[in-house]
Amino acid sequence: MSLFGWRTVARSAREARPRPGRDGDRFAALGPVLGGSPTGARLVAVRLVALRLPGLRLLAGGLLVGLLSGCGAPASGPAGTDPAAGSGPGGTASVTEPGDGAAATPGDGWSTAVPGDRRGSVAPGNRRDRPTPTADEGSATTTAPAPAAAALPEVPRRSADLAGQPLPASAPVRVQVAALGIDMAIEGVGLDGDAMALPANPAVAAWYRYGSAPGSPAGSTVVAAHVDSLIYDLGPFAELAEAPAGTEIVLQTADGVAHRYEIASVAVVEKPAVPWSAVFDRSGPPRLTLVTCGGEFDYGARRYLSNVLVTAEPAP
Amino acid sequence: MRKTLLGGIAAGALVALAGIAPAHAADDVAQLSVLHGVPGLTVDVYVNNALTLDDFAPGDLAGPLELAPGTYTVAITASDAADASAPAIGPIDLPLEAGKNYTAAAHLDTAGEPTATLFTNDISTIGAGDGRLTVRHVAAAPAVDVLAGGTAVITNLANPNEQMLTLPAGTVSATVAATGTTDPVIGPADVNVAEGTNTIVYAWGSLEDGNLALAVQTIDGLHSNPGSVPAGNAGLAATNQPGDDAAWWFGGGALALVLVIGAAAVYGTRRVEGRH
Repeated sequence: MSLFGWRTVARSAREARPRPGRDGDRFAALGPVLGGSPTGARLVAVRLVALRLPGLRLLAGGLLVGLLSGCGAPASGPAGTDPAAGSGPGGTASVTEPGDGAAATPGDGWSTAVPGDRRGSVAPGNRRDRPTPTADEGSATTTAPAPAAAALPEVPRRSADLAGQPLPASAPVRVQVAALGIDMAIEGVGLDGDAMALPANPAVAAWYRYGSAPGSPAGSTVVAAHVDSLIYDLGPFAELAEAPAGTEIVLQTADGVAHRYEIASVAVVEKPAVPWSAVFDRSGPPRLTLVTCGGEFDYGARRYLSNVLVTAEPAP
Repeated sequence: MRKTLLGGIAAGALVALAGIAPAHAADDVAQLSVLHGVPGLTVDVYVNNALTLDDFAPGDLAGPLELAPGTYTVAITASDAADASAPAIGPIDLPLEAGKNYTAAAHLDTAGEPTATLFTNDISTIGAGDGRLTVRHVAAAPAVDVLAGGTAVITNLANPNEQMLTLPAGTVSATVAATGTTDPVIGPADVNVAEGTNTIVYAWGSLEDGNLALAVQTIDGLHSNPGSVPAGNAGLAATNQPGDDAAWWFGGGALALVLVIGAAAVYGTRRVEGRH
């Protein structure tokens, strides 16, 4: 019997059957998981609805990317952090490179498993004092302190003439990520106090001009932009936090060359934990690091709690 | 919790990809460069009686050599000499300590006689945005002033001394003049004071012979990094939008409303049905 002839909620619930494509289907499927409680099923339904909202989806996506990038990194990790190969500055006499005084080629750091091999990757005289392997062989690997004179050691030499100083590498002037709709001009910047200076407009990117450039033989080229601003709204770099690995990035330099990179990892790291010495590293394999802000926002202090760090390697 | 863990993983991934090791001085060896600042004389350089540099030309810089700490005897001979028995300069003893960076300069003294001086290069860390300029007087000339953009920044520098400045990174138009004057004896010349780099400029040659010149050596890797990249202050890309919390309240409120209606309907119906 019905109250005033109307179908009550209770009667409808008793007579409801699962229909394909309706919420009832989801309840039924989740029912066994939640111990058969319709209340529990409705709670899960609320959560599934909430996931449609962009904020939470961003979080879920960011966490997923961060987790995947963290899992993906070990493929390159061992190559980059292998100390046993003696790439550190002090490892000359003890390096396991027997008799390679003539065989080792300056600049051949790539062929070993040690991208951080500073000795191999720099031009003589233009970098911090890191000699080529041949120079070490001649002077340090035999009985100290008298160097053996069996073969004349190849010590790097260059003219010290002022006019002959090598020109700095060409500055990047444009950054393009076609898959994310990013196409921005780049300005060379320095510091604003202790921080990297950025143009106020999030649609203009900045390159840390004291660090490496795309054509440099070593180090991280750092390009950053505001993710948003109170005046200019959301910026193009807001798309970076969800960029998949392998996304192509192109940097155009002032000399007209287009340098292509592929994203290796995207990390959202809380600001106190950001390894700035790794981000701004001027040694190691040539790479690109894009930096912006992201993660949670402190509405009281009006600042983001994390930086978004995108590491990209030169495309093969 | 989970976010911090992911932050840690991500930071670790970043470091792993960079492959960085703590960089600066090679703590257990000494680094030695050699500058040939004697005009008109191509030489051979012997270190501990072993030929190390063959046919070394004036104005050239050799190195860096990594050497175990100790004292090294350096002799500089004419380039066609058979051995180090009759050197043009030396032999001189160079005491080299671990972790330090040196330049041995063969040059003329104030009177014009060939000699050699061992300089220790400053490789301490430089603040971000700055460069270090080291000026060394190794020329056969009296004391000089170094002017940058017309103003003397180094005064009364004599052979074989040096002076250092820390400057904002950039290009400096440098002139060398006899001390107390502004008439250039060398320059003006553009010197790039690179950021995070010790740019070492040598004034070498002979005033009398009219071949005074500047030579430059650079040691980089001494830089500091920015401490942060503040890149947003509007919260538009925040993962914790205020609407997210509201969604939970709306969902909870809607749920409560549904439960209340449902309960009312159930109890109401049962009471009604019970009467029939």
